[in-house]
Amino acid sequence: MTENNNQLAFDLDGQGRPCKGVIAFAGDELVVSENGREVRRVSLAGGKELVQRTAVGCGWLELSLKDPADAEKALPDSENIFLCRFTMSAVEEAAEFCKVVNYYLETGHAGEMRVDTVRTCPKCGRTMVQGIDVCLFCVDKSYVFRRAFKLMKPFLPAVLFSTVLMIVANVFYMLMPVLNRMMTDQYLAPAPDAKPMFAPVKGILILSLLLILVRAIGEVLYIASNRISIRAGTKFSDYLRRMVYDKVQQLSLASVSKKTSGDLMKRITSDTNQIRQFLIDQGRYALDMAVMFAVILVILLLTNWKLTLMVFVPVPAVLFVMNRYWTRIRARYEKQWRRESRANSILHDIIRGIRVVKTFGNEEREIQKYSKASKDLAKVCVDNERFWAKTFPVLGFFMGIGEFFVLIFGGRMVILGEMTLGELVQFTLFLEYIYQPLRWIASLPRWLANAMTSLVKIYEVLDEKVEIADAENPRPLENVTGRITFENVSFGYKSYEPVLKHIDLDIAPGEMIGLVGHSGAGKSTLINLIMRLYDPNSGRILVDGTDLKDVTQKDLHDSIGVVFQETFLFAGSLYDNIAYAKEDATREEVIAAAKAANAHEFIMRLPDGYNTQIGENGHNLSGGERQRLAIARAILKNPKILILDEATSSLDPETEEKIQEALSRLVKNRTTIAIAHRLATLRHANRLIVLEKGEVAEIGSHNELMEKKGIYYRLVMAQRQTAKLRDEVAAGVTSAAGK
Amino acid sequence: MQETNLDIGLLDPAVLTFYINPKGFLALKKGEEDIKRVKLTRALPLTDPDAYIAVSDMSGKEIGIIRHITELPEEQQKLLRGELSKTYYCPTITEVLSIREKLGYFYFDAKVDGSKKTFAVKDLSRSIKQQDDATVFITDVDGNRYVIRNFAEIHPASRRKLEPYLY
Repeated sequence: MTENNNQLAFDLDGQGRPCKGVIAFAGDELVVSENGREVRRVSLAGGKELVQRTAVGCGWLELSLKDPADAEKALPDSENIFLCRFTMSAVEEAAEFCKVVNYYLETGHAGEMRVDTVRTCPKCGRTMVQGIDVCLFCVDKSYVFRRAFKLMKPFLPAVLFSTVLMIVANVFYMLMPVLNRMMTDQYLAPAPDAKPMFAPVKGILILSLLLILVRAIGEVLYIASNRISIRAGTKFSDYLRRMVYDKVQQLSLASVSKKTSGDLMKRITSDTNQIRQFLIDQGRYALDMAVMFAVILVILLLTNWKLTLMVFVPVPAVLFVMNRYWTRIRARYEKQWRRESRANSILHDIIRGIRVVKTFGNEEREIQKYSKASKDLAKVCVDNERFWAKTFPVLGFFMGIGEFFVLIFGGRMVILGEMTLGELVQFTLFLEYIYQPLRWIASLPRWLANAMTSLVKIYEVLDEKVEIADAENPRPLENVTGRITFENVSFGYKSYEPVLKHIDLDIAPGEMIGLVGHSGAGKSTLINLIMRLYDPNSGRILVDGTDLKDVTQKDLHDSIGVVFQETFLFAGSLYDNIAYAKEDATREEVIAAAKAANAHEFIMRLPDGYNTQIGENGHNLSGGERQRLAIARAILKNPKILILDEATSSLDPETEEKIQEALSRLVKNRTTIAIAHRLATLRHANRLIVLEKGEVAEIGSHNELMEKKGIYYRLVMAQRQTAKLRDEVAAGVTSAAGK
Repeated sequence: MQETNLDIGLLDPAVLTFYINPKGFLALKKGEEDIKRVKLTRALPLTDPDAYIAVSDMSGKEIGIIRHITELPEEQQKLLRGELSKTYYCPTITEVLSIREKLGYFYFDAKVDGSKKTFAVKDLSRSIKQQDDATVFITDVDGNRYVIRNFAEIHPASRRKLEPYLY
């Protein structure tokens, strides 16, 4: 008996009602308690495996038995022992618990549970989101913008310089009210104690010229500031776009697949642009406005502090209202973002799947689908604009209501001689400069809402954990021979739902392996693991004795060539699409690869030969032609490991023959792993591996497996039967047509 | 439209008797045949949860489909509903106390089956589904699903809080 201290907290009772429960792995038994009361105690002595099952919103654990009662052997699961039930919040921990118990059942030794995710925030006690180290609720709100400023650090000198120019330009503009005051008080409506420097006409002329000069200098500085800012802004968006795009490329297939293409495109293009607009344009305005605001505030206070205070009377109330509506404004812009993304995704899908749309005659339905998405988007945009059109003028009005107080009380002061007319003119002209920042503050929530939405979307991508990362000190993968070894590999796309279980395989260099099994048996998953699109949950995969995790993905992918059932072709020439496999390929190499792939013949029939431009995804090529291009790519790459994933399944027999011929050239001297539903295409494989429910069920040559009369035999017989039936139906149709 | 003549393998309710086996799992007697453990799967869990319920053995082989749960006797309906509620765990939100957004995650403070609960939701357009005018399904970041049975009938304050997030 091994002592251990592993336990799992669960939150539903056997009937699916909320409870506080614990299942403890103590000694060689499992003890289940619900609401502090022991409800089950199960010995592991006869246990085979602790099984986790998941359903909708919940899961449960049950123990399967090594030796169920004779009568139940056909359906052994009916003898399983139910242990506990839980919501999805406990599912990851439950998977860890299963691993520990199952390790004990296999080896007799108990390990320790590895639950390294802290699930609740120590500060607020809220559940923390998986994969994020900080509690999003407790993190400082300004973090979003502080981080954004870090992003724009390389561009900060240019932005600051542009801002300084803008501030200097505004200082010049601010001289204009002073000159106006001088003109009013000294020449137009001279105060009794006025001492003009020049004769009236000369003085007016000089001050007018000064006004023109000041304005001109201000404009020149403003233009220079804008030019610098535009240049910095363009570079910043380019930098952001590339950063997000690079990150998307680094992410695992699983992470990228979670998002729609419209969603990703929007993040890379318009969100980066939105952020640039906010940080560079609005950021510059913000600094400029802050300086202007401070300078003018001092001038106004010095001119007349009572009038100045009147200007600011409504400001706190407006700021309070803005703060109150902040969350709603954010939700509005989040909604707009989602609708835009949805409309983009629908459009992207329709254009990509235009052949399917047309063949099903569903153009009208798709038009309606997109129209609805577009209308929904338009509705949100109109709603938001309407909301803004109503809110902004009202906020602006209340913000500027102090101006009327200034006119009333300022006019009174002039009449009473407490203030000169020039001082009032200067005051009201300066008010424009102070209202500019205040009005800008009124429009700030909109800018903030847009920018926050976009920043958050960008951070989501940037913060996404790179699940498939290269080792810090990777080992080189040189002179690959093509040996592939699976050592007790288990994997599930969700760790608690295993797709492959305990796979042990040794594939010799140059061997051709056929992967066989029903749909969902784990064939494609196995090749995904070899290509390291995912990492195993346990066990390891080695190429030439080196763990895949210890080599760079570049080295690994350089050694692997793949031909999929569906070939993706990029917009460009046929030549570029073949050469995609090897950037520095010579023309002779490209043509030789095309010839070996039986593609040369059809390419040369085209008027532009290898220069023929193909549309997106090669829609103007047949399936067989696209497949031959894929084989040409693989030949050109000359990999030591070749993966053929249903490479010929969608082709007619004649085309398939040509492609099989090309493939037979391709597989020579390479380790080949092929999946094909048409089992006849795999009969020449050195070994066939039959997968059943994620486990290796049979291994052997075609003849060996046929003699064994197991799963493979039944699959072959079923296919022969189907082929026979098809032939009979075809013969029936032909004879009927003959009559 | 041409008749398709496709058979979906409907089960005859008259020959079905569901029962709980000695280990506590659902089992089925179908005529003479005794299937010691079966599982139920809803074909339309969101739009019509009581119709087209598939019955399978534990290897996943489908035994057949029950057209509608109400075709079974009262006692059997109760048994099946109980089993379905164990595999489709979807507690009910009765009140939305607050929704706060933090860096793209939305934290819901809500009353769920009478108790206060906080959960986080990401990707609103996929996580919040308004099935018809009445039913709203919300799935949190862990994969738990919650339901508002009748959106029009929850407290107006809750409705106001949730409305901007419905797409």
